Amino acid sequence: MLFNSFGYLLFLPTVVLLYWISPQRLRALLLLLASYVFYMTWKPVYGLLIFGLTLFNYLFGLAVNRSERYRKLWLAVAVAANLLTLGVFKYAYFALDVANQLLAPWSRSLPAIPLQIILPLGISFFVFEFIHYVADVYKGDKPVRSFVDFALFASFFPTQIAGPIKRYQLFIPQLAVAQKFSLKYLDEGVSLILFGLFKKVLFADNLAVVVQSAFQHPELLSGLDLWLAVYAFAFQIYFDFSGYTDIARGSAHLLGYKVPPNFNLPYLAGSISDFWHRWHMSLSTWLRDYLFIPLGGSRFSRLLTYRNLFLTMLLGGLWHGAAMHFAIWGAYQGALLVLHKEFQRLTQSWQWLTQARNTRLFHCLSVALTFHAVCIGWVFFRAETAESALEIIRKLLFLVPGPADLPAWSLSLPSTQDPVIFPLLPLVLLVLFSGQLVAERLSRAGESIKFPPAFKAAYVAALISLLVLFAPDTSPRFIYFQF
Amino acid sequence: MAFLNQPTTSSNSARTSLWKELKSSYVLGGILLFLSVNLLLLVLQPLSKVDPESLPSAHTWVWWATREYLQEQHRPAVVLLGSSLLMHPVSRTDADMLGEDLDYVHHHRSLYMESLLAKRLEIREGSCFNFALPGGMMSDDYIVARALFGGQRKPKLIVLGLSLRDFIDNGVHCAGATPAFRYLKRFTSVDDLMPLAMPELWQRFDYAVGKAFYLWGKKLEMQVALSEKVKQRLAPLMARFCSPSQIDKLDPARNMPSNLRAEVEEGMFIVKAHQPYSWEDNSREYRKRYRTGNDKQFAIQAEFLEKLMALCHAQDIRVLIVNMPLTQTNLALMPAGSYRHYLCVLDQASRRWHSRFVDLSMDSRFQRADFYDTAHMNSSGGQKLIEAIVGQIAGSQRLTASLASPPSVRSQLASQGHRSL
Repeated sequence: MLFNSFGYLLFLPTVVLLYWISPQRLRALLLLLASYVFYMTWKPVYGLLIFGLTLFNYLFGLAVNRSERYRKLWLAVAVAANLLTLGVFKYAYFALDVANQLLAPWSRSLPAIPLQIILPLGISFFVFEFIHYVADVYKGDKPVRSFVDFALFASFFPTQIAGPIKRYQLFIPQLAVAQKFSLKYLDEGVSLILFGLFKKVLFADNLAVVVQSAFQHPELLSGLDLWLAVYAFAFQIYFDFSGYTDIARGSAHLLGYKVPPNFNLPYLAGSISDFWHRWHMSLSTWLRDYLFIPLGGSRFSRLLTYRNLFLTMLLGGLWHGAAMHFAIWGAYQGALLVLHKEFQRLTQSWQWLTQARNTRLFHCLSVALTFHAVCIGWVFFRAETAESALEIIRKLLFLVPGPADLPAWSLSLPSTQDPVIFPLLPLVLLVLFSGQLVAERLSRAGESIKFPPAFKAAYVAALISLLVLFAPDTSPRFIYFQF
Repeated sequence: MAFLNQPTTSSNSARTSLWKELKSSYVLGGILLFLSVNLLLLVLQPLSKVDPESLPSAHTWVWWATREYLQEQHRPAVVLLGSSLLMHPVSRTDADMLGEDLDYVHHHRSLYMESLLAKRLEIREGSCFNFALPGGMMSDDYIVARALFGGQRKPKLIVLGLSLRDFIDNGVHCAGATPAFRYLKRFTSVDDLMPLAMPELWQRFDYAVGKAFYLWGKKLEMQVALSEKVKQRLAPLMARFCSPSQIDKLDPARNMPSNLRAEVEEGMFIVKAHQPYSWEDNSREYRKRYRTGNDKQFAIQAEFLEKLMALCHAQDIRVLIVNMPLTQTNLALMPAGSYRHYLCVLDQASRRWHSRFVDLSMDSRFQRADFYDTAHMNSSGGQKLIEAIVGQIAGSQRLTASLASPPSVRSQLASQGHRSL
């Protein structure tokens, strides 16, 4: 079931109503049933997969906790089984392709996979939650005793398909709190959902039209046009995913649960390292805790630290999808992080730079540089082939002239007639950039700014009106559903 | 008395706190504000009627046909309504007659019928427009007539080429779900058709929301109006700072959101002149279409036939109902009893509304060699079909008169109780 579907519009209020009128002891069970209904509307048989994995990890969590002698073995088996499941469903075809490419010089190939494997929705997210669980139990945290609670942690419908990747230590205690319905939940939940839908339907879906044309036909565009298209994709993916996260968090709020935020104005990051503290935070902290640190983190030599950083980002890239361009994107992010660390190390002793770092101008330049470095990464993420990505990057660097021998800085994309998002693109991007700055101001001000209820009501009414007015008959799927 | 006062005080305070909470809820406030604005818009109706053609739409078969129909300079003499069973042979016949390839999305005439009418009946006024649509149901024929056959665009005669599939196709969820119905409802109100066209609760809910919420119901109009205004304002800026877009030269559907992407585009379906004979077995497809007798759907579609006949009667448009020829293979796939029932319905409707009905399925002129699959005829079949139709028109004084004479003469004939079919 999609968050931006008619089905969810009926499903969510029904679950919320049933939840609040049910006695406390039945609420977790009710949410568990609802979560399985939510998941199984897509492919019922995959309900068995999530149930099987839940049971397996529940039992192994208990085993890891109880056993003194075989703790490490149980942990290894549990992690391996989770990764194997992910590998079979997500990476089997990719692995076969890569192997066949490697074997090609010897005119050999591996046999094709006899069955058609369909990627279960959300598998990358719930498998990561399972690994986090068994790993933390291994480190000494208490396992979850109630199977229903554990199953709900794994299948909680607001976060089931595309996260945020939850931590059980934060989620499970919320199940024990006997909550009473308050309109506060409605206010916070509904406004988050509306804002999430607004981001998805109004911005992500409209920008997607520009991005689709530009990335399919880079040969028809100049370097400057492609910069606009890449900015458009940067905001498309941000609004698509953060919109999803807002809807997930809002849906959880309606049920009285708190789910961690996933984004914190990532395009205002002052460095690539800062970017990863603001972008898909639940994934980056997971990668840090369960990949970077186990690989050795920064405890050893500088080179080993860089290797760990690079490997973590490379695997993080592959987590997004079984394709070479995701691997390249991950490697690019890893390389940027290594470069940033090295730059910091080399310039540590430069007094003037340390002083300059504190100036507003330096901060602005850092933000602009980081944003553009991230944008170049998005080209690998979005381009359909590596060749196409390279062609786009050559044009972005103004190394190739525009179409029909126009200069590389000529502009033609906004003069596209239909739909109206093309001519509006420069203005929309300007509004979105400024919106980030306004959001930062508001977030800095925090609780000190109190908006009157009438203002907030007008804001909600405006969001509903805009959604009603601009909602297409069908909205494309969220990008992160495919991961 | 204290024990009596106690609960009252507590319930009062509970009520006060609930009221306070309700008052402080900005989401409820926002919803109320939205509803008030909506009510105001419903009363004021600030948006004038927008030309339905200018609203964004996927390029479907019906979109192309409607576009061409609305561009017709003169009132058409004959409009052919039906499914691909009628569309294909008519276009194939024309391609052979002209000796040139034709694009299905642009060729909406029956030039062969026009030439026969001119030759045999000396009827040279008005075109023969082929509005048959692939997958078209009886309900689609009705909505086409209701939406488009008014005023100057009213044809003199409708030839309704039907088959059992148009009444029971198991692949069609409901009358309101076809591309033709979804597209043409923007040209006409379909309130009265809801129980027939949209039997599902959610469909009616969506329709009701569209009616009750001004912004939802008018969203397409508003999007178009706003988009046009913005484009007009930005045009001088674009001309000054931008070179012409190369993307514009691509297929325009490429830039469409997925819900507006084309079903059919120019060049996708070309009918070739003098195509060599080949046979395709489409029994499997028709086995699915005829999976069940689909009684509920049949009854609904029969009601649409009734509505079409009533509409044509009211508009003074003559109707010729043609039961399309089919191969024995196709007839054998039909659910038991359905075909007889269907023929009865056509016969009764034609009698009730004093129109002409011809059953070509029993006509020995149509041989297996006239078909390229179990249901669709090739150009030789098309030629025979058009000749049979023109023969029926020639054999009916009433039909001939409707094509030949101005409406006043026809009214005169009608007032004289002229019932010759």
